[in-house]
Amino acid sequence: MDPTRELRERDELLDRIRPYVDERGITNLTLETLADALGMRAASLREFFETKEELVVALLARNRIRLRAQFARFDADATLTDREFGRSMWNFYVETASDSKLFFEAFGLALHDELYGEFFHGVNDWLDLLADALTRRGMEAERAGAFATLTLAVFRGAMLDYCATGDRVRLDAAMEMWFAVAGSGIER
Amino acid sequence: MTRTVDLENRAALLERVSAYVLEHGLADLSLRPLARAVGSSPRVLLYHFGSKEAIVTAVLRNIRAQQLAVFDHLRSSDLSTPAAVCRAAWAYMTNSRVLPMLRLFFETYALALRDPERFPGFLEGAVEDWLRFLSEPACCKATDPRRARTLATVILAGFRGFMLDFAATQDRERVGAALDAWADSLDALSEKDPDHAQQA
Repeated sequence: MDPTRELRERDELLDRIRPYVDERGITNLTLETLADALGMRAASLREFFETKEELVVALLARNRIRLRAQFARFDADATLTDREFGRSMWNFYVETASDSKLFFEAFGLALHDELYGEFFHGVNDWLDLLADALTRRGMEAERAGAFATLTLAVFRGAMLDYCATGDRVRLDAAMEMWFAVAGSGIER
Repeated sequence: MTRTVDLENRAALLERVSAYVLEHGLADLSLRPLARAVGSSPRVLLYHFGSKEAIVTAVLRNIRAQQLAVFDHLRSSDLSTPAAVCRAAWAYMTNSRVLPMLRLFFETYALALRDPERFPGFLEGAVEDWLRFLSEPACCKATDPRRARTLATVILAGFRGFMLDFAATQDRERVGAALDAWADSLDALSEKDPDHAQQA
């Protein structure tokens, strides 16, 4: 098959797989039941993804690209204040909470399953992006490094809470409180 | 077999089973390899616990008791500021003995997000236990209970995110440095109204 076409087909397949995985998760997923649900032969599915783990890594990579693209759009938008940037990112993050759920599930599995070895390589590549954005917004480099780890932690921790409780009102208030402090951190 | 001997056997078995689960996780837990690893048999495990799911429940209850011990530990530490609470919790949780528990916690959390009924009370406890502790007057000086709960939510979010990062990377230096920056910000938060902090 011509490689561009194969990539496109793989992408379309991932579009079809996504709602199924969003609903059922990956812990008990097998390529056989998935192929059944998609009305295709397991062997055909395996032409694209040899293992379940490979499929999960592909889904996560796509989600990550989408989140990063959104981050870049907000980051480039000069009309947003630092606080609005944070707030917009948080809103988008909550709207795509099913992506985070998948991320946390894979994270949980990867902690005990080396088949997901590749997974952790991507966990912290947000750090450079965040540090860079913070530096451009006027934070000194060393402080920006610490704040990148910190910002990632606050977002992920708040999302863990949101996925468990769905308490948007409490979490929005907490994030507002945090953005105010982070804002003053930049100006310091 | 007398009842006492039976209970002692069960307790000893539960310790070994817990140790196995801490190392291997819950997701792929199956009876036969578990029995082999703890020097028992599926039949004996089922005799003591009833079912595989009952084993999972017993293990998590056992581990939850150990996790609640963190609050006792923290209550005996310096809780005068949110920063002090975070530093004490960080020192406790990054102990190498606690790391396997931290990993199992995140694994269970993830499984429970998909299937809450399988882990009754787990998610509620994972969030509420901490929010309640962090809103206690000992570690939160905010007088308005609503503000105390919001502040507790901020603290929990940051702290849990650090723990997630640490469980994956074990990068004590980087995460520790961020925690220091965090602790300073938190103290600013607990003293000032955030809107004033922003304008200052």
